[in-house]
Amino acid sequence: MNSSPFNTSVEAARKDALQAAEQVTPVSSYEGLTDYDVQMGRTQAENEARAKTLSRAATNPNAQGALIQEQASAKEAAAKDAEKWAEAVLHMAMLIEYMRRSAIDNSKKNQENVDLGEKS
Amino acid sequence: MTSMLKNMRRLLFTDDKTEPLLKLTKRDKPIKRFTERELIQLESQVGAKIFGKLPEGVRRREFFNLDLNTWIWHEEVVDEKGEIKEQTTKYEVQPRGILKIQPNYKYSYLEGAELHNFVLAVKNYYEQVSKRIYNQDPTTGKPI
Repeated sequence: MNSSPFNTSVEAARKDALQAAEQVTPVSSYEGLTDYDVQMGRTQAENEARAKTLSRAATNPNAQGALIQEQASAKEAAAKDAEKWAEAVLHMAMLIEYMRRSAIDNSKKNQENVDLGEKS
Repeated sequence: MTSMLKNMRRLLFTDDKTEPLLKLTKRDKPIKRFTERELIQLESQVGAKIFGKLPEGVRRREFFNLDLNTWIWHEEVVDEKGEIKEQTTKYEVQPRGILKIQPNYKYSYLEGAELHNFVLAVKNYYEQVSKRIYNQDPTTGKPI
């Protein structure tokens, strides 16, 4: 037989696919299918494949779609979190800045008062 | 340090603004007018203490607010050979988060525990400098 690595890869992939197919949760019913599928002219094989996918997504919490959605939600929450905290940090910096300005003004006024006191 | 802060507070802030001028004597006179830089230096001394005692090998540490959008962490560490290594990390406040900028063009937004720890440090810094340097209640903003 041909010893090309590509062939080997394809063969290995096919094997993996077969093994994966065996692990798929058995489909007991095709509730996911509707008359619409029939109208769309989907073949029995296509319908079966679609039903398998639906079944897998419903029963396996680690299904890729759910995982991607979960990751997206977590990312969105983290982004909102980062925005919220950045705003809080900015707010505290504004208060510090205000205190600094007041302290500088006060020290200036105090010195002016002392100078006036000394003159009088 | 504590006495210096107390002194400074006394010189900078007068609770009673109607205090007669004649009561001010040379002894009460502020040594000089404080500049922003000097205040930041004082804040930095408070900021360094937020993180507790300096770990072994750390010679100097500073943490301060430079301006509205910039926070600085600076550390001097003595390595095994006795050489001093300095590391400065700049934290930039941006609308989408806190950007950490380290030497050699290392940029990353803070996230997770690191972000929360940074915010806690900033909160602590604000509370400490309010009370210890500016003599203000950090919650109400009123003089203590």
